[in-house]
Amino acid sequence: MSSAPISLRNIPPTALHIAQSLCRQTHLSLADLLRQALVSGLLVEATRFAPDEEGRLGGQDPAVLARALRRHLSSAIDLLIQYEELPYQGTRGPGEKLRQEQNPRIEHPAASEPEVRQHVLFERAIGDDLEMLGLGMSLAQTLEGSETSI
Amino acid sequence: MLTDPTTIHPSSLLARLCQQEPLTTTSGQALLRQIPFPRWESSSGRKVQTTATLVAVDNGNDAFKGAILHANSPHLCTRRIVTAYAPARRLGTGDGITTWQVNDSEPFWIGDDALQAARIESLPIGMTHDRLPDERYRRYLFACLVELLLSAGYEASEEEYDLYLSFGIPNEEVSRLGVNDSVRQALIPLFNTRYTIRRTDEQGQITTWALRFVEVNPYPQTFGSFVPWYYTVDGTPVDTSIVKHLTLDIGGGQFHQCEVTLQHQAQGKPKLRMAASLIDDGTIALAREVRERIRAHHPGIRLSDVEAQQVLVSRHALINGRRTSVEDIITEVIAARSQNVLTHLRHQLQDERSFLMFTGGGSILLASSLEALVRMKRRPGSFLFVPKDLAAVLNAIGGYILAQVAAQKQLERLSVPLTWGKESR
Repeated sequence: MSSAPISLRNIPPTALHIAQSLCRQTHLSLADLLRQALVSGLLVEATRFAPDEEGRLGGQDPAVLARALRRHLSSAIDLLIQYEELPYQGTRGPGEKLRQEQNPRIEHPAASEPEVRQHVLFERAIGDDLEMLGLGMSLAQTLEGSETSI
Repeated sequence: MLTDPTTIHPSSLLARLCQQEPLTTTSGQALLRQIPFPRWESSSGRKVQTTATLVAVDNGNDAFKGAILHANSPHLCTRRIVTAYAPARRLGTGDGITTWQVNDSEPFWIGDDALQAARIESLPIGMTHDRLPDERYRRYLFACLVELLLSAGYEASEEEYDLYLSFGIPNEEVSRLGVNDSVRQALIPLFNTRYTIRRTDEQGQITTWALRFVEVNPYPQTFGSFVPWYYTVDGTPVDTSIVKHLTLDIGGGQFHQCEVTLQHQAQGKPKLRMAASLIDDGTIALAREVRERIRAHHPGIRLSDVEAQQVLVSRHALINGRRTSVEDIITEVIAARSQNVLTHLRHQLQDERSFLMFTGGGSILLASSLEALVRMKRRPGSFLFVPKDLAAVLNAIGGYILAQVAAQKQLERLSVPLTWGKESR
């Protein structure tokens, strides 16, 4: 059996950032928050590996694990559905259509939360390089002046 | 697909693609698929907010190459469709041929389907201003885009697909000052114009699509191949000791090189310098030779450029109603003429200061003679043949990454909060 954890290392900075933001928001201590994350995370990890010979996942009866997971994942599933990121959205009925947006002209007051997170994680290094090379011309911007004057 | 870490950095986007891994960043986020975009609407005289889908097209002379992220999963989807157009004709019984109409155009076929037609028409090749004004070429382009969307899990909708496009054009048309005026003029009619595409599939089922380019970001085609080699999926450069990287892009129409110098700094990331140039014709020279030899044996067979390219790739021709192997002719032509193409490589092979990366459809076609020559002249670790599954579409894949960069800038212009520290709730 492995020894008890002594310290937590190599946590990605972005994950730590989430933890710190949540601590500020919820007034939980970092230790409490990470403890909760460990519990939720292990339930998820248990589903990612093949069942053992007795059909158990992480040593748990799958039905029990499913009940435990439901409580932890419902908010995450809600979010995935809301932003159309549910992994199995492709398995829908024949009459249902996948579209880029329910209504492409609806107002987008700002990018959605998932989008914002994505942008941040796409580093600017490549953008700086392209600027250095003089690449990245935008036709929309070039024409903006003339179009708006029509 | 195994990759050699001395020539493809394990963290690079190219390595991830070779391993067919999902394109998620180190923190598990998918790349941008769509962004909010304010589009100018002439009819109302104001900007309307829309959602633009990121897509990249390498506008090659021999084929359309497209890249887009799958609608539901973080995997990149690519399509290569031969540049072939033919007016459709009425068919009898049996499965039909996927037929297209763009706006009020004639019904037409594209790609391999068009190659089977009796009346295949040559689309213009050459520079952007030679190609885009041709109405048939535009129809072909939009039909290809629908095929790309379909392969990425999108479905026809009454609503419009607004596309945020990275558009690969010949290297010589792009400079530090952007694109030249003739390119800009050629692109304008495509920009912010709604195209309605009607697709009738083999079973006769009709779907209608509406596409509009709300943004067009031109980029030099060959630089597109360097991007997945040098950057990770997070957009950071890989740690490499290579200083001079030479992409040799052997396409169907043209053979280009793109030299990128990585000027390493005492601190910070390397500074880049890039120079791209046209070396020679691509494999079209071989295809034309094959055409002449076939005609010498069969005077009644007159192949167009695109048909000749197809014969070169498939190594078969339609002779006396039968799909006939022309392997002997192809082998002879490649043996005789590939030396001409390879002659241009001698200087690059001798200049041992550069790391060479071979890509493009032609590098697949000439693989055996090309690899023999390079392995004879170069040490392992000093060159890379892009795996053949990716070689023909790598310029478009790089274009997709460039679309990510442009989209991120667009979001910054829209003042979307971009730092983790800011609470948005």
